[in-house]
Parts: sequence; C-alpha cells; structure tokens
Amino acid sequence: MALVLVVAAGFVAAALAPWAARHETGRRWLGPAAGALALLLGLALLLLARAAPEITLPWVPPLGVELALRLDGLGLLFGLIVTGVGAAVLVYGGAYLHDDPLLGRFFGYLLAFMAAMLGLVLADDLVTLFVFFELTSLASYLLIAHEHERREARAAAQQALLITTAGGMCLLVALLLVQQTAGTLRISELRPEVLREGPYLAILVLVAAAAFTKSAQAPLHPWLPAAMAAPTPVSAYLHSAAMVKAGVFVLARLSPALGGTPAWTALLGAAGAVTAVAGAWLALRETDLKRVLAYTTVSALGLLTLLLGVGGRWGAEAFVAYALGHALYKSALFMVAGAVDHAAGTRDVLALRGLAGPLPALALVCGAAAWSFAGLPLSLGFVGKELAYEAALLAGGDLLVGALVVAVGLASAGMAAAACLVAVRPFRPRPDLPAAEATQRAAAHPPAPGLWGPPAACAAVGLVLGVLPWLLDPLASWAAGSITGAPVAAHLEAWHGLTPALGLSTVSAVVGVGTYVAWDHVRASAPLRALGAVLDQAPARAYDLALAGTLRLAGWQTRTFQTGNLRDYLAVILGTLVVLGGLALLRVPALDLPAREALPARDWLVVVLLVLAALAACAPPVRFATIVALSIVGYAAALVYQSYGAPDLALVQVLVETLVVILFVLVLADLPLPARARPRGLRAVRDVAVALGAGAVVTTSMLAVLAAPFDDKLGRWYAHNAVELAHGRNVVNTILVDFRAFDTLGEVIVVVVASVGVAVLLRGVLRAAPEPVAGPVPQGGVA
Amino acid sequence: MEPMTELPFTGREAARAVPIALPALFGLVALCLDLFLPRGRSKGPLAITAAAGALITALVTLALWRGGGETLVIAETLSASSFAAALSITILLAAGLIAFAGVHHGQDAPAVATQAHGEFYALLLFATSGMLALVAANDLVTMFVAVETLSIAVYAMTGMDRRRARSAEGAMKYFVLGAFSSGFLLYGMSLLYGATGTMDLTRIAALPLADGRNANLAAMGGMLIMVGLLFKVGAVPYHSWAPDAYEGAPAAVTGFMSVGVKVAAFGAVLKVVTSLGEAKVFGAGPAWALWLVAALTMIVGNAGALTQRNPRRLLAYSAVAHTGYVLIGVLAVARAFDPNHPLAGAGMLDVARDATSGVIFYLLGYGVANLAAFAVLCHLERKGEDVDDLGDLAGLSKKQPGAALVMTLAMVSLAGVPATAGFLGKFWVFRAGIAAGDLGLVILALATSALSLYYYLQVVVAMYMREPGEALYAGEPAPAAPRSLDPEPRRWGSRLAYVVGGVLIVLLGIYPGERLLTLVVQGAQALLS
Repeated sequence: MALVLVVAAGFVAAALAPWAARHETGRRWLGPAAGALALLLGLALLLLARAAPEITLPWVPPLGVELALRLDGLGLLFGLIVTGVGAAVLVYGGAYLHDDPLLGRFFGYLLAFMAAMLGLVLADDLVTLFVFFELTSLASYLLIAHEHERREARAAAQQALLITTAGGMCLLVALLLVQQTAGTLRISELRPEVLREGPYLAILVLVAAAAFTKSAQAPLHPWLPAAMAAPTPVSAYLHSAAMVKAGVFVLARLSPALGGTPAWTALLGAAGAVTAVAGAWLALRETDLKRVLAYTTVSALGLLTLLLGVGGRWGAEAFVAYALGHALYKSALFMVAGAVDHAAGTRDVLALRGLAGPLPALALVCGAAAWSFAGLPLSLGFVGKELAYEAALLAGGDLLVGALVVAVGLASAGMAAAACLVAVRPFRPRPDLPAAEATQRAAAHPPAPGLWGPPAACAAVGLVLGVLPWLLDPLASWAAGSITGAPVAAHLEAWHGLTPALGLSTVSAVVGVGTYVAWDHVRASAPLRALGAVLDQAPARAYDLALAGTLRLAGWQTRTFQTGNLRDYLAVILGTLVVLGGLALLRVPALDLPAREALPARDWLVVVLLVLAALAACAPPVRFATIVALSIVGYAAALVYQSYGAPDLALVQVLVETLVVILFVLVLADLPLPARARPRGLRAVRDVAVALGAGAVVTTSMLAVLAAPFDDKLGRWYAHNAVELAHGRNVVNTILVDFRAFDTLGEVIVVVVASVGVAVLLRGVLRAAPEPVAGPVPQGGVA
Repeated sequence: MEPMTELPFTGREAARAVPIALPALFGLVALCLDLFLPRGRSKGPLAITAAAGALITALVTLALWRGGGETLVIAETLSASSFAAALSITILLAAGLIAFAGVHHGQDAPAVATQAHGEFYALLLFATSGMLALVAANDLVTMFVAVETLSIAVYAMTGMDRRRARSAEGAMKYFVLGAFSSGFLLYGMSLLYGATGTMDLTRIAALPLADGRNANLAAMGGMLIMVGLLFKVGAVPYHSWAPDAYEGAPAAVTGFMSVGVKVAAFGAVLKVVTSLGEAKVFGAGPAWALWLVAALTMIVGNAGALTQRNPRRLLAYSAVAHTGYVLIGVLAVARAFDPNHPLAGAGMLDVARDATSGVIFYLLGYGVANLAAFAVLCHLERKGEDVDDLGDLAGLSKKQPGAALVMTLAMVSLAGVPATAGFLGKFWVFRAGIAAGDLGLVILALATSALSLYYYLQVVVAMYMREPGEALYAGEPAPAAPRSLDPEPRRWGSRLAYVVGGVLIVLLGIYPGERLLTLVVQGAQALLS
C-alpha cells in the first residue's frame, strides 16, 4: 500500500498546487514545499527498499489488467532520480517563475508529472506502465506549451505530443501482443523463452519504436531540441533527467524478457550508436545554451540505448552509473543556463563572455557540473564513461567492438567539446575585450539563491559520488541485476588503474578540447553541416511535410466527398450497393428461371408503359412532369398486381399512389424552388451509370429470389388456421391484428411518433405569422 | 409450425418487456404535462419527468437483469437478455443526461424561439423506447419497427430548430438518406425471409445454410441488412448524412443521436452478425468487406475531423471515426464464425465474447464522453444559438473552469488517453482485434488515434491557451463580437449533465467497478452462448 501512497501523493499535491498558488504566501512557499515533498518521497522509497514491496490491486479483471506496483533495483534507481532531481527542480522552479501568473497550474503539471513518472518506474503491470507512460507525454505537452502565447512553444508542444503518442501507440500494440503470447501482463512474470516463441520481432520493434520516440533517438529526435521552448525548469527535469529517460527505462525494464538476442543487440546498438555520435556533434552547431544541452541529451540517451543493446553485466553497470551521472550534471547545467538567461537576458553563447566576474557562484556550479559532463576523473560522469568503454571493449566480436568503441569515443569527444562550450566560453574572464552588454546586465541582476542553490546541490552530489562511487554499490548491484535478470555484484571505482578504457578516455578528452579551441571553425564546417542536413533538418522537415500533407489530404478528401449535395451522397451509397451487390451476385452460380409461358400482349403494354414512364421521370426539367411520370410508374405497378391475381394489393397501390400525387402537388405548389440544375458531363454519366447499375443489381437479385424453390408453408399455415385461431375469414386482416398484432402495434407507435414529429416541424407554420427563416437573431429582445 | 392454442406468452414473460415500453409512457406523460405548464416558463418539470423515466427504466432493467436468466419473450420477438440490458444502460444514460442538457434550449432567445419542449421530451423518450426495442429485438420485423420508431423521432428532432436553415437542411438530408437505408434494410429482410422462411433471428441462427442457393440469397439479404444498419451507425460510405445532421441539429439532439442511435444500431449489428454467423451465412466473404469498411471509416472520420472548425461537425466526424474503431470489435465477432479462420474453434468463441464485451464497454465510454462534450456545448448556447466555431471557445477556462475541465476530459477520453473511459474501451476492443488476427487494422486504428489528438487538442487549445475574445489562429482577425462565455446562473440542467458526464469519464477510466464489468461480460455471454 505504501507504494500506492507514494504515487498518489504526487497527484494529490498536483491537485492542491493551483489552490495554494492563490495566495502570496502560498506562491512563495510552493517551490520549497513541493521540493520537500519530492525529497520525502525519495526517502520513503529508500526506506521501503529493504522490504522490496509489491502490491497488486484488481482493476479490470476481465482484461487481466491489474494495478501492480513493485519496487526493485531499477525502480529504485529511477525513483531516486525522479524525486532527487525533482526536488532540486521544484525549488528552482519556484524561484524561476516567481512572478508567473500561471504558477499554480505549472506546479500542478510538474507534480502530476513527477507522480506519473514514479508510477511508471514502479509499475509491474504492462497496462499500468503504459498508462503512466502516456501521462508523462501529456504532462510534457502541457509543460512545453506553458508559454502558449508563443507560436513556437505551441508547435513544439504539439510535435512532442504527436511523436511520443505515436510511440505510445506502438507500446500499446506491443503489450497486447505480449499478453496474447505470454498470457500475462505482469512484467515480473514474463519469460523470455515464451516470448521468443511468439511474434518476438514484432514486439521488439514496437517496444523499440516506443522507446526511441520517447527517448529521442535519431532520426526521431527533433522534437527534443524544439521542446526547449519550454521554461527552463521543465527542460531540466522532463527533457534531461526524467521524461526522456522513460524510453530507455522501458527498454531496461523489458530487457530481461526481450534482451540478449542478436536482433535486440543490433537494433539498440545501431540506433544508440548513431544517436550518440550524431547528438554530440550536432550540439556543436548550436549557440543557444539550452539547445547545445538538448542535443547532448540526445547523445546521452543514445549512449544509454547502446549500453542496453550491449547488455550483460558491464552494459548494465555502465547504464546505471551513466544514467545517474547524466541526470545529475545535465539538470544542473540546464538550471545554470536558466539562471544565466535570467541574469544576462540571453542564452546565446556568442553574446556571453566574462560572466565569472559578476556571477562567481554560478561559474563554480557550472564548472563542477561540466567536469562530470566532460567525463573528467573524480566525477560520476567519468565513472559512467569508463564503464561504457569497458562494456564496449568486452562486447563479443571484433567488428562490433570496433564500432562500439568508435561510437563511444566520438560521442565522448563531442560531449567534452560541448562541456567546454557551455562552461568555459561564457564564464572565462576576458580582460582583453570590453565588457559585453550581457555581462553588464548580469552584474546588475545577480541571481537569487533559489536559482543557483539547487543546481549546486545536483553538481555536488555528482562530484561526491564521483570521488566515492562505492557508495552506490548496493544500488548499482540491485539495479543492474534488475536489468540483466540475474544477480550482479557491482563494484564502482573512481580509479580503475591504467586500463585501455583510461587511454581511450584521454584520447576523447583531448580531441574534445581541441575541437572546442577550434569551435569557431568547426561550427560552420562542411561535415557538421552535412550531418545536420541528413540527421536533423531532413527528419524535422519530414515531420512538417507529413503534418501539412495529412492536413491537405484530409481537406481534399472532405471537400471531394462531403460536398453537401444530396445527389453526390446518393451516388456514393448506390454505387457501393452496385459494387457489393454485384460481387455477391457473382457468387450465385446461374439463374435457371422456371420456364413461364410468354407474356400476353396486355402485359407487354404495361411493361413498356412502366419502362417509358421511368425513363420520362428522369428526363424532363419540369417538376410536374416528373411527378406525373412517377405516378404512371406507380399505377402501372398496380396493373401488374392486378393481372397476377392480387386485386387487394392493386387497390392499396392505387389509393396510396393517388394520395402521394396529391401531397406532392400540394407541397410543390407552396415551395419556392429554384430551377433544377441538370448535371452535366462526367457527373451526368456517373448518375446514369449508378442508376442503371442499381437497377440491374436489384433486378438480378429479384430474379435470384424467384429462382429459388419457394416454400409457401407459412402462407398455407395462415390460411389454414385463420378461422380456427383468429376467428376471421380475411387472412390478411387476421395476420395484421392477430397473428402479428405486436408488429402492428409497433407500426402504430411509429405512426404516432411520426405525427408528433410532424407536429413539431409544422408548429406555427400553419398559423398565419410567417417567421424569419435563418435570419440574424434580433439583438436585445430577451424573452 | 405447431398450431397455437394458447396465448403465446405469459404475464411473467411480458413483464420482462416492460422496460421497453416505460420510456414511451413517460413520453406521453411529458406531452400531457406540457399542456399544464405556463408558456415561456422553465421546462424543468419536463426534464425531471424525462430523466426520472430514464432512471426508473434503468433501475427496472437492472432489477430484471439480476432477477433472472436470458429468455425470449412475447412470441420470441424480443430477447430479455444481459446483452440488451448492458446496452440499454448506455442508451438510458444518454436519454437522462440529454433530458437535463436540453432543458435550456432557447431559454434566453427572443420570443419566436423553439417552443417545442413538450414534443422534444416526447420524441426523446419515444426514440429511447425504439432504441431499447432495437437492442432487444429477436425478430426481423420487430427490428425494423424499432429502427423506424427511433429514426423518425430523431429525424423530427433534428429539424426541430426551424429558425435555422441548417437544422432543416440537416433533417432533410438525414431523412432522405435514412429512408434509403430503411429501404435497404427492408429489402434485405425480405430476401433473408425468402431464403429462410422465418423472421426469428435465433431460428435463422439454427438453420443449416452452409451452401446452396439459399445461402447466397441469405448472404445477399444479410448484406443489405448490414448496409441499412451501417448507415445508422455512420460507417463509411454511409456516413455522409452525419456531418450535416450533427451540425444542423441543436446540440442536445446531436448529443442524443450520436450516442443513442449508434449504441442501438450496434446492438442490432452484433445480433445480425452472430445470427447469420451461426447460420454459416457470414463466412470469410463479408469479413473482408467489413474490414474495408472499418479501415475506411477510421481514415475518413479522422481525416474529416482534422479540418473542422465547428465543434459539432468535428464531433460528427469523430463519431464516424469511433464507429470505425467499434467495427474492429464487430469484425472480431464475425471472424469467430469463419470456419476457415486459422484460429477457428473454441478459442475464437472466447475472442468473440471478448470483442462483444469490448464493444459494449467501448460504447459506454464513448457515450459518456460524447454526452459530456455535448452537455458543455448545450451549456454554452446563447439566445438559441449554439457554439459554431472553435474560436468561440477561446478562454473558456478563465470564464468557466468547470465546463472547460469537463470538455477537456471528454476530448482526451475520446482520444483514448489512459485513465479515462475511452482508453479502457479502446484497449478492450483492440485486444480482441489482435486476438482475431487483425493486427494491421489495429495498427491503423492506433495510428489514426494518435492523429486524432491533433483535432481533439484544438478544442483544449482554444479553451486553455487563448484569452476570451482572442482569435483561434495567429494571423486571423479577432472576432468582432465574441460570444459571451460568462456563467449563466440559471443553467442548472446542463451543468448537472456535464458534471455527471465528467465524473463518469474519470470513474469509468480509473475504476469501472466489478458490477458493471459483470454486466458487460454477461452481456457478451448472452449474445454468444
């Protein structure tokens, strides 16, 4: 139950936040209070960890869906990231948005997001997991669109939502397939051997698609840099530490069930490697601090995917250390970028310089975080990167090892350069140059403690854990064990000795620093431009084109088929009848009609009359002539009934026909109708074809009915029993009022309903005063 | 046939059919009550009468359902089953909520406004009776009479707002095309009768029609019946009436028909599919046609909704799209009877049951969300004019946070976002679709669902991300005279309706409850016993 409370607490707090933000005191304390709640929840998870609790509540039993929560190593790791970084960001957010009128709503979404994230990492039921997975997408949409007056913020929010929801739909199909194959939705009960029997590849691809959209793997990543339109606390939390990790989390969660196959390694390894390299180097084209950080986040997510693809003990350990390290330094750097923006009024690297003078505290924090970012020794980033190299080196197969090492190396080099770009360039004192405008502004606007305190905490934790990584051993062992599905005894060390990994680290750091020194040239260099064109602009443009194309296609489709013209609608309906009916009739073998004697001349006359009148009804432009022609069709039908021995039916037909003609004429006399527009060209051809086709299909099916041997036992039964059971001699009457009296009652009800309906429609019309039809409603006169 | 010497049914049996007649009786009461209400005054008593009628009918239905078994009553023309009971609940919910939502229609309009309130409630309840009869019908003639009862009432309600040309136009199109569909229905029934010699669906199900000429005839008849019914549910290509009728009718009427007619007609569709399936008339042949219809319906419905700016028209296309999703479940049921299906056998019966449960639950979830959305639109009616443009909703979250919240819930539920009623329905139906082997169709459904977020969120964007009176899109001039969105204190009925709708969306999505699920599952078992 404790787990349910941990998840529910965030949702309750989210509901209370808008209310708390109504008062000035509430606004001031909202950030710290929410941060304290997050810390408390993190603490609760730590305390619960020893018991490793599970809980299962029935939800929708017929579907096998349960609300199942379970705390394991992986859940604890991500739970601590979510609550720990969450606490820092919530405090920071209170200071960052202190004068925002929508502060309450903002915190509501942020807290709801935190709760959804906790639900996601604790879920042990695939539907529970999916529900929270989607809720994080929704929260992300709402938070990106926070500054909704800006067009780019709205577009970015929409793009993020459409892409991640499309991924979510893949996850839904995947979990349906899993349920069908394995017969369970419980993640801890999934057996790899069972899944591999079923549609394994489809499940894998669908799960990967969901994870790749959520975790911004190239080329599905453009939504993430665009999402930087969100307020900085959102970028720091959702788009670096938590929400984007949901994708790799799902992969890690399912790796015991799905992982370890060649397909898994190939898919995740390839996507991860491409993303890791592309993200890190695409970052170097950017000058906006947040966008630089966003692309390196893409790179880090690629690296995490790659590590899961490599798998095994080393991959899992590296994943754990890297995920934690990245969450800590990247959220700190985002918060610093926001603080710089607050103070200096810009985040453009080109406009920022010498900020260490006016903002010494921020410079220190930024340097500490970037140390880990660059993967320099005595930081958690270093530990993670060393392990990543180890994992790559230990992967089987020379070619694979080569590719993986190159990928990790290139990514690390790019990140080291980006770290310098973020931490050195804006802050380095430049006494040789005149003070920039931004620097002067920053001197006048020193950031509040709420803006540098939280990132300082994150960066400090990262460094402490970098010096004393063995503190993480229990957590890392447990989490890595959850990923591999077998117990792992992880031992993290700050110094691995002179290993090949250290050598590779040194090389990549040197290349990174060198790249930074030459950044002004690298930024606009041809290879980077080409990389951007292929992996960045092309997918972004594809998304735009797809969206615009869909809208245009939708518009065309609707205009073409929804013309508002009744004739077009009828043509479609009858056209399908012709096609479907024709196809059905093709299955009827052959029509062997019972031989009949030749029609007498009188009947021929009637038939000719009928056909001529039907043709005439279509032809003339005068309405009265059409009515006359139609009535001839009706009377001719009556003659047919008469000559085949149904005088009563003929009588009814004549009476009804007469009534209809009279009504028609009465109504037409009163209706102001425009001259009938005659269809021309293709339209006319279509109408004729549809009419002839419909006639042919109906006629053929009638003949098919007649060709079937007719069993008249029902008719004989009625005729035989009319007198005895219904005490009547008119068989038709006994059927109507006795044998099937309830149907007649129903028909009577239909008539009553129709008359009430007619009364509604005619009310007032028959009285004198004509009403304005569809005119503008007069203003002012309120009844 | 045995000669009958006694009454074909007993009083106890007849009692099981009472719920079908009850709404019509309350309709007559409303009609009479209207005579005694002063003109121009609130029609609250009528709304309460109608809602009470729906509630009492629902209670009686549930009591009878718990009381006992699945039987055929009144000369086997009606089936008093869990299936009928389960669908009836959604229909009665629609009647009850719309009774409240529609009570303010034309309230603040000039004197010439609609004064057809007595008739509105009478038609609402008559149509409800027709719908209840349709989901219970076990006889082709009864089915036809039920279809006519509900259709004619709904045609008239569509045209009720005579002041607006669109209302008349919508009603006219609906009526003409509806008459066509009734023709298909009747023709199909007569062909089926010609092939089988009986009108009784359970007897048709028991007939051996696997081959021979009669099977072809029956298939043709069944196909035409399906065409007639698919028209009523608004499946492509028989959907063209929906946008015009939904836009023309007053919001309350649209809300009612978008739920009630669809639920009732889907009940009949499932009946026909199972009956003809068991008779081996519907095999692999019609399955591909149904597949095509489902795919087209999803595509055309979602594509149509993408470009709409009138909320009722948008919801009309959305209703078409949802028909497509439900058809996945119907197709799964149809596949269960295909002897050549790779999974044919006992397992497929379970799949068909699961699909039927899914369809029943889906329709409930869809119904609740749609009713909530239309209740909000009714609430925002001013001087007899409905909201005709999404831009008119700009800034609703500031003026009426409650209404905006319920509308948002309705939209995300229709989009199938988790933790709402719409999600569980989709999950259930799509699950059955995959089990029946229609993975491609389910993927199409999910892709179009993801796309549907685009237009559902337009509504949310207007309400939450625009100031009152602001233009909806950048570069568009702000409306010269923005609609008033200020809260109207006298609108108690529509407020009640949307609050109930909003609560149900969340409740059904988070905790549907054991009893409801039992009803849904038993309903499926009753249909496929």
